[in-house]
Amino acid sequence: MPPSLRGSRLPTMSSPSDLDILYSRATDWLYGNLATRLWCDLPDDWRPRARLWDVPDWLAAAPARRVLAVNWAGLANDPRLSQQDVVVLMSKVNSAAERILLIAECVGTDSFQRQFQGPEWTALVDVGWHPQTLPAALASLPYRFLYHTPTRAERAVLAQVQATAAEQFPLRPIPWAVVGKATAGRAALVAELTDWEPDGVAFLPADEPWQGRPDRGRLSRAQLARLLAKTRFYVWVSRHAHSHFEAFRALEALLSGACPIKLDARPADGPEAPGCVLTDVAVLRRFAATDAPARLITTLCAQLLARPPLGAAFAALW
Amino acid sequence: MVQRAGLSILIPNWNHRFALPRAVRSALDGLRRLQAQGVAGELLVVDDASRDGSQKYLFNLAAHYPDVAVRVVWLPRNVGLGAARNTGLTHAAYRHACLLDADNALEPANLWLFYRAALETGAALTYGNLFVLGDTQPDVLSNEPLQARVYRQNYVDNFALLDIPAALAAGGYQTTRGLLEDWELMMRLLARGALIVFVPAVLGYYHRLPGGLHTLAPETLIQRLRRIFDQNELRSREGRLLGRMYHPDVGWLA
Repeated sequence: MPPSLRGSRLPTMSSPSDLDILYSRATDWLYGNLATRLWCDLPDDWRPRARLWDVPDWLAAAPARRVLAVNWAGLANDPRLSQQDVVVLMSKVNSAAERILLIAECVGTDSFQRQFQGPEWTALVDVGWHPQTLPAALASLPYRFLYHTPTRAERAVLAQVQATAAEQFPLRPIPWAVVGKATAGRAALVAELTDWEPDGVAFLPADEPWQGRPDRGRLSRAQLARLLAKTRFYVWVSRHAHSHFEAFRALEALLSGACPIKLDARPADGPEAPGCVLTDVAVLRRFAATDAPARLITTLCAQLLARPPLGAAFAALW
Repeated sequence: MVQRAGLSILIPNWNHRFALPRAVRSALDGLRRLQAQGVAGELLVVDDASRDGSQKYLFNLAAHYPDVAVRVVWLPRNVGLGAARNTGLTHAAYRHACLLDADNALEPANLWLFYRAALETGAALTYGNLFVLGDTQPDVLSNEPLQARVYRQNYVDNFALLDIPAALAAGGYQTTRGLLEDWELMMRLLARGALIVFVPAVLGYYHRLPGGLHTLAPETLIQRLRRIFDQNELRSREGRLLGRMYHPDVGWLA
């Protein structure tokens, strides 16, 4: 348990509750999708009193007592909002009795820091694979960790992947896929992977902050899933120098039956290590030559299926 | 020339004797892989009156590689890159051309993938990731579906597969001496509503040389091109996605 969790006074959310979940449909699909999945997957006694809002629509609505802002930085940079709208948004969030920030960012990065340039949060929900230690400046903020598990609907898909990985995995035509904004590190990764298997998929578009939408030529979640359904290894490196496991990439890979592989020269170890963090492409090549990838997929699916679904896990936090 | 189904790899050459073998080897390897898939192909080099001994290398090329169709078109005087490429397009034996500059190299294993994408989509221009290699870390070019910002600055290299009838119908490359013929053809294809497709795979390697032509486009020429195409209703497409993304094993991705 991170030190920031110890002794924190956590707000209690009685169930069922009135809850507004805010997201932006216009910035990037990752968080929009997370908000939608979470809302759809809430337990039956939560759903009737939880509302899901695309942020411009919420500006005209009467706010609930509790507001869950999914990716505040994305909300504040929604291209459909004027500067004045953002001021109104901030004020309106601040008027709620409980102001909860939900993010899946690595502590220590600019992306994490930007989430705190806004309302006064009363709690933070950190979505990922491992709880993180908050910086000292946020030590008094109540912290709750939400394991990024599949929803109830996705559990059936994952169970199917788990059952068929051994036979399906080797049949996939695309050896690897690297998807993310272009960085020098990712270009170098693709160069190394191309030396190994030239016919992988590399989609490294220019970085256009807050524009990760299909109408800007970015992959939607469904398109990424179609791509990964033909791919053996979904490979990534972090954009930053911190040691952090991107749980959302692992889940996207597994739901499509691909093997998630993060490359990091400092692989995580210990009982909570996901097992798919390898040090470099040379290790991946040796790993790929065995039947270990299909076994890893099966193991990771089992780990995720052993945990409660996303909505139930969220409800249990309160 | 009647253009049949297949692929001509077109290398315009002017004084690139030092780099030609690398480009030629990658092209021949790619053509052999196409042959293995039953696709006809040729290597067509257009020598633009080189003065560096390229001819000596090119004279013997067909004899050295009898398993692949190799032809050289000799231009009696230097006509410039755009005109040399147009000569290649009109001499090509096959419907599709892969434009490969003499200082670059193809990823041979992926040529079949790109050819499939060109055939399956009917695209006028099919391109993919290019690795920029030089003294520094690898960088990547031509790395996303075409967006309207191409009107402000070109970010898709000419190293791509062209549907020759579509390119010629659009007027081919600009032949007046200038350095922006790639961009100009791209704009004309867009103005005609041609389909331009990005394939998210590695097409080849772009070797950045000191003083390479890509660094020399003067701002006045860029401004002129922008003004020309601004008149063509193209400015109204600002902010829009103009091209599409396709992978033969997956289908449309954008």
